[in-house]
Amino acid sequence: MIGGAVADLLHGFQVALQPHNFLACFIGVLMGNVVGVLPGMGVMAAMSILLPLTFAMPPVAAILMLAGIYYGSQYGGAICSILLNLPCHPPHAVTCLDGYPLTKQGKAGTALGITMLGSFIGASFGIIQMIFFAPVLVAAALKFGPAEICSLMLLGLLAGSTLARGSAIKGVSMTAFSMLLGMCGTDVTAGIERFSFGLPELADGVEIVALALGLFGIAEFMKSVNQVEPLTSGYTTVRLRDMVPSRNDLRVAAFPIARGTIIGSLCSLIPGTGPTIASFVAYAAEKKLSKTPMRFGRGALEGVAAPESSTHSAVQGDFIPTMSLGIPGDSVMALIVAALTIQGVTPGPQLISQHPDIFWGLVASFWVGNILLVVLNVPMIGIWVRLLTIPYRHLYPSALFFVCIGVYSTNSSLFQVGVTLALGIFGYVLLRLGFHPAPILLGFVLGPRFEENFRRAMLISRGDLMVFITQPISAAFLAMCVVLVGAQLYVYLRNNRTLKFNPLPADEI
Amino acid sequence: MVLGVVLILCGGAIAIPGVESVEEHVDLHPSPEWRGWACILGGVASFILLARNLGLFPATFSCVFISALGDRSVDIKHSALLAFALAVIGVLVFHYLLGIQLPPFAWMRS
Repeated sequence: MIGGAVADLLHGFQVALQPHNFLACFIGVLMGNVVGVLPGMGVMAAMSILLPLTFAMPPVAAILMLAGIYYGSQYGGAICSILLNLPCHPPHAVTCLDGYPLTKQGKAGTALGITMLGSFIGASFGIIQMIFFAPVLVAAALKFGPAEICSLMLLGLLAGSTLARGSAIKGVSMTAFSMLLGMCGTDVTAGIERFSFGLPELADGVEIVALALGLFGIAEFMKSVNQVEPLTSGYTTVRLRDMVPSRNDLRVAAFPIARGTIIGSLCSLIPGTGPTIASFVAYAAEKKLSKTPMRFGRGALEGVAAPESSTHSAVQGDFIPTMSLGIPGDSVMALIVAALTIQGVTPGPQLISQHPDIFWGLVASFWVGNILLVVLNVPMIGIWVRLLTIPYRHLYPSALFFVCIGVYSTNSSLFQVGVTLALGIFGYVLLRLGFHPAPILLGFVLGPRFEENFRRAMLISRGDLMVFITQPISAAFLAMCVVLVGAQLYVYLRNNRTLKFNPLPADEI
Repeated sequence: MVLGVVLILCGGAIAIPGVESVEEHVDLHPSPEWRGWACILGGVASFILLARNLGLFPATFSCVFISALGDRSVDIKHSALLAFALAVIGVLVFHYLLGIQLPPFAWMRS
């Protein structure tokens, strides 16, 4: 099995190192890095702006580029957190706690060096995990019929909407709403128009680009307009020489990096718990294990190394359920699935055998991209820092233009730009009300496929709903759904009770 | 039938937080930002209108310019420059390089 994997991986490197694929990967990580550094620009916005541009590319290059943006932005986000105390990207919020104090002590170079090292180790571990884990999952998933896929999707949707940030019920209602949105347009099996309100423009449904840019573009800009402070920082001169960690630093950081990596890879396997949760868990674990927990928050190198390696390991691991089962774990992965679908590639268990160049090319490009990122970041820190001084008042109008033209270019329809506008307003209202928009994209991508498989299962079983319970694998997934919901209800009720009678600290639960 | 089931689920799911979310409220935004919102939305709306009637170049210019007005520290001259630059880039890249179907100016429609 290992021999086969190595041969496949070599094939992957051949694909990833082809000039145009390499270029796509390079553009992706570069864009990602820039977006990661710029405050107020989200990964989702960047990916959805570039999504229309990838339509014209071959599928491999398109996926390499989109994936590159995702993990590239993680490197950029760390720079922002450590040098400027700006948690512009949620996974790196926790890095600020110890990264910025280190910067104030003049050890920014060390912190960045350790971050790069930890990130690379974490990412490499995530990639190896993907190489060995994905084929195993696929072998199991190939036996799945429509009923099993249906139950699995239900589990994915539930986990994605309840385990993510914010209130679980709000998450579920967002998912439900987005599934309705996904149904908008002409019904695939029956050919009837649904939710199109008699508008012929809506017959093809809502474009994924319009949805993503409305929610993560326009709504985000509405949130951060006049909220982003102009930057003032005196700690932005980092020399290359400072970034090489000393032997002592390496000894301090070695175990935190290893632990962070493992925590990240575990988190990535649970849908709904992406890099953000991974980094917080890693930081908390490190603080608990440390003999000197009071050093945390005042510039402990462990507090930078562990969460950063955890984030990167989780980012790469995120791709495992997406590429092997076709079930995305969060909104970024949902966008990748959508991009694959637009390219005419069905994400799912058949992906690895039918499109080996996409899967192995992607795996190999992860390594190529990560090496590129380390090489890019080490000498170019100064440029990234200067990039930070671009004021937000120039940034968001430009981005808004790319939003408009991006949506327009998906199928030359100004109507879809209007849809984006409406969804943007809607998304902002939701944000203000405390609904998180991330599950929307998940439901939007999975919803139609859920429906399709549900109908197929119904056709096979002649409309007998019991098929979901009588099939053992499907029943197991449904049982997991029940356990998931039950556990959340239990925790919720218990929290409520303890809060009423005696307020216990959260660690007790 | 499938639809009905999902709709009922949705209704239920949305009704529950409606009742419960009264106690838990997260106040993320201290003050409403009407000017910013209006300009962002106006920028996009003007893009739609002008792209339909006048072409890509004026649409881009107005989209960027109007939305830039939303920032309190706005500088009219800089915004106009930015909008002009982006309009030029937009026409060059998207019309000539990528070949999207919007003409730069309406009278250039063939």
